[in-house]
Amino acid sequence: MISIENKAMQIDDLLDKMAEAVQLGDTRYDRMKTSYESVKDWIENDTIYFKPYNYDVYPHGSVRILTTVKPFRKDEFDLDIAIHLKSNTPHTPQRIYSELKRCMEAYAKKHGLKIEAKNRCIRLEYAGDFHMDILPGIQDSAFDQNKMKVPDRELGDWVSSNPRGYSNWFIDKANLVKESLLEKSMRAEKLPTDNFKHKKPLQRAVQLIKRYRDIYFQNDDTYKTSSIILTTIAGQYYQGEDSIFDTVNNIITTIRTHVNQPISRLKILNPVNAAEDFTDKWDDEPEYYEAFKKFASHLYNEWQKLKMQHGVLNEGVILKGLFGNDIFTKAQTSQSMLIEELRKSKSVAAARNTGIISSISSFGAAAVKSNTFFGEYEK
Amino acid sequence: MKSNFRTRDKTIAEQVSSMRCKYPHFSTDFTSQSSMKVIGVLQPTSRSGTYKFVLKYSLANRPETKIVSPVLLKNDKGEEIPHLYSNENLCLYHPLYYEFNRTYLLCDTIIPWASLWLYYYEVWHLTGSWLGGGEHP
Repeated sequence: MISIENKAMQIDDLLDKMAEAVQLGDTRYDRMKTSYESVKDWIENDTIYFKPYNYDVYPHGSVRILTTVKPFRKDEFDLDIAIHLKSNTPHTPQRIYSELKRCMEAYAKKHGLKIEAKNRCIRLEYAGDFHMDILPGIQDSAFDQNKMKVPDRELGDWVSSNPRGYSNWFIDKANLVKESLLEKSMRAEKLPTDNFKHKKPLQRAVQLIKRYRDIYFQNDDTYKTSSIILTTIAGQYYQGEDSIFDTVNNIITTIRTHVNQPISRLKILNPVNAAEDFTDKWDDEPEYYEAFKKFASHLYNEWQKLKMQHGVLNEGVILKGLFGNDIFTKAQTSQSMLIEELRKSKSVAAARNTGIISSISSFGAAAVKSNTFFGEYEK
Repeated sequence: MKSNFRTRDKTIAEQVSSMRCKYPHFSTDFTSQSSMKVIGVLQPTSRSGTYKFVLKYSLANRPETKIVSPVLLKNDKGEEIPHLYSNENLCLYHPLYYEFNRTYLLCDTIIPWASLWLYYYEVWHLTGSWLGGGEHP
């Protein structure tokens, strides 16, 4: 079975390749990883404050849940890190924050990095590449390994935060599907699973929706919907669909049902802390909610057009509009190169009746004989 | 006998019956004792458009394949369609490489090649590049 024989698989293969093309590249990922390890070592060797305590340092956010998207145009990518102190230290929020600030200022000086004190975290700027947001916190209770109290400078107090719990929630959702459509087809082809880099449909859907958001709001991002809202909505509405296409379809159809209810607005609560409404800003500034509704409705309408299957040429126009020309062309080219390789290795056949190109393994047909497309003299 | 069938020239009757057997949806007919015509619809991928083609073949000439609907289009940059003769027949094989001769069955060569041609034609529209290889003299 090759991707273009089956309608659902053909579009999913393309969506998968597009998501792969928007995700953070391996080289930048490696640079981030090196920087992260270096920061981690630095904190662990801080004899002034951190060394005697028992704590974890871990990434959270999109890097952890595998939903990274390359920054569109010139935005820098952000890597979120938590320093999770395990014991109940007797310190004040201000103390924890200022110790981290002191520690990281020395690090930034040594490595020639800019440092910025944000409300809850310390940001290290790796100019033009990415920034690292380091969030310090103390475990809230012995019963929940993930829940932290983090200092909030504006409030001058602790606030509750649970980035690791959120990541676990999302990954559990993504794993609702045992085997995705593409995994099934790979297994049918007996491809080795160790070079299997595919992500789950939910992760792919989030990458694509975020990319679409970046393109949709490219000219005016005043009321751009945040990634945390989009990721949470996707996770909440996901029902274990096995294809990327159906995953996006279900998410946007469910959004449509909710926003069309006239009485109350859609609320997106933090799945690991119901007291936190990610969309509380939508009350004070309804423009955000209006922008979100328009954005979601546009995606819904485009997806309905894809369902009608007016041929790959029309679908190409829709997908380029949603996710960008470059990404689409890259994915389509990569799909075609695979077909071309199969053709060269004489593994391509044409199906009876329709002529649909397939692999010889699909129905035991004879391989298509080699041919060289020719032509007349160039005009 | 079998190897003999494989290497000898095929008669028009053999071409017609093999085409009818493998592609029963096509309309395949004799146009004379030594020539034939196939009209059918091809779809290169499961999400592709469908293309109506006419294939004419006589023992005296090379097979000629033409897409009759929808009309094949230049791409949005206005570039000429690659691998197309000026009479709009598809250039499916290199005449000097013996990729097709009278010993071959049309249903095993020209038809799948036309489907592949359509696939690369669509991809050419989508990406701006002809990714199916080939030669332009």
